[in-house]
Amino acid sequence: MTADFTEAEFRARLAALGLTLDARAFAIAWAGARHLRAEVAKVDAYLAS
Amino acid sequence: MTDPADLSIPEAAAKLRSGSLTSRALTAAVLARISARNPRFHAFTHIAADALDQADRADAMLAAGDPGPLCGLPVAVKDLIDVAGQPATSGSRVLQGRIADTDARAVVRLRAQGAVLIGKVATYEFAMVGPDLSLPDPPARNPWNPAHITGGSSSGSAAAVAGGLVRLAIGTDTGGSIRSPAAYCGCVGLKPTRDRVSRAGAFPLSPSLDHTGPLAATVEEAALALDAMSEGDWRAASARIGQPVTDLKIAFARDWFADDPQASESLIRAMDEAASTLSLLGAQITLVTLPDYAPYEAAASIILHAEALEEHRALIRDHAGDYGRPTLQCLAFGAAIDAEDVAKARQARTRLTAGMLLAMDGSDLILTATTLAPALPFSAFDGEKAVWTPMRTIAFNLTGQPALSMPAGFENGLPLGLQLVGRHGDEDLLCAVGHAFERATDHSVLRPPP
Repeated sequence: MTADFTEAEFRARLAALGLTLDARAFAIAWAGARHLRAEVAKVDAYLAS
Repeated sequence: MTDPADLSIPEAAAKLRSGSLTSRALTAAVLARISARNPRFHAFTHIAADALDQADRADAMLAAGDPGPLCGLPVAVKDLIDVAGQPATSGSRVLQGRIADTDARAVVRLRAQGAVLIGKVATYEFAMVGPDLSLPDPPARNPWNPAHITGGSSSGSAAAVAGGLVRLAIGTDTGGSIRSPAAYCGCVGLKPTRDRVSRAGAFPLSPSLDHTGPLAATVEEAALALDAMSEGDWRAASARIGQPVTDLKIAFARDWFADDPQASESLIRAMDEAASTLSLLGAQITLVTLPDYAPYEAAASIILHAEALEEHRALIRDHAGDYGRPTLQCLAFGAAIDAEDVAKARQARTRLTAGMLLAMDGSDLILTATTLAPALPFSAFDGEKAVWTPMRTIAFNLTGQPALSMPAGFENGLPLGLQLVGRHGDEDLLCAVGHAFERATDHSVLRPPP
């Protein structure tokens, strides 16, 4: 996955799961998704160290 | 005369063996205690209709010869773990009405030894996130102050033990779900070495991080419970209870919590006092710098969210509307993770585990904090998004090392917990040190007002 994981891509993945979130729930889920992408970057940095 | 519900497991076991107490009388006393206190703490979600019948069977086992230290003693089980004939909803509307057909493997062992499976206790929904006030069962409340959370996900297990409803409850721990509620509620929580206790029959959150273990009023009771549930050839967790700790070297990982601005002054003081107490008991305390916590948390979060989404994929497709909002939102996070990310996190896991064991070189145990502050009030939760409380637990789900949380002080009337961590299989050392600390302080003797 590229570092610039987009909101549109996240929406598409949720749709593929059959998961429809209202606007408030999506905003929270998207914030969590971005946090997890930051965690992925931390692991990448750790493995590169 | 002491209410039988207040007897420790060793005290009750001795009376059961001598014939001065029956399991039926003990179980009846515990049922009365639950009836009196559960309306305040919401720890139990179900009471076993056959509890007294189980007690009668235990009395027969005791009369025929003692099958083990837990025979005849009431045990509560987190509603994520199957107990045959009892509800098994994982705290969710998704599984509402489900009754377990069979016992989870750990429960099989407890039942075979005559434990009375007295009921199910609350869990955060699917062990994922909480508290969620919109779910059918009200969230468990902190016995020290019911306006505060218990922590989770073994929320009912901690409330039941700390509130004096039972001496022993079984929980699960994927990122701290035994240890953090134990710390917040002021009881003992023991996350065993990975695979020491079977996870079969517990609803998985993240199979490669999940652990099953006890929450108990004291370290000795947690050790006895772990020994009763352990699978395979391990040194007994209770083997060194009461022995001196003068030969043990303890690595004090102070910077892991003290350098974090979220750590409260009371917490730092309590940990320093714990290190001093252990030093006075003869243990050799050395300040160490453990590896940076952040990569442990990052790798574990990636694995947890990816595996949790996989476990729930089919249920989400068919029952998305039955999940609580915070749980569904947290499960959705996992859609941001790819197989390649998980592979890298697992690669990091191997290196991080080796790094932690290397950092322990020359020490027997690590001493650090469990959580960085006491339990939050319910008012901090808006029912929409999850609130993450700072803790130092998930690293040891990643490494699979045993970790014990136990009471170490108070802040504004709410408990604080210390954490002892050992090498794989060293629960006997954790419990020896924990028991010695318990004896040298009054933290574990103090109980919330009845």
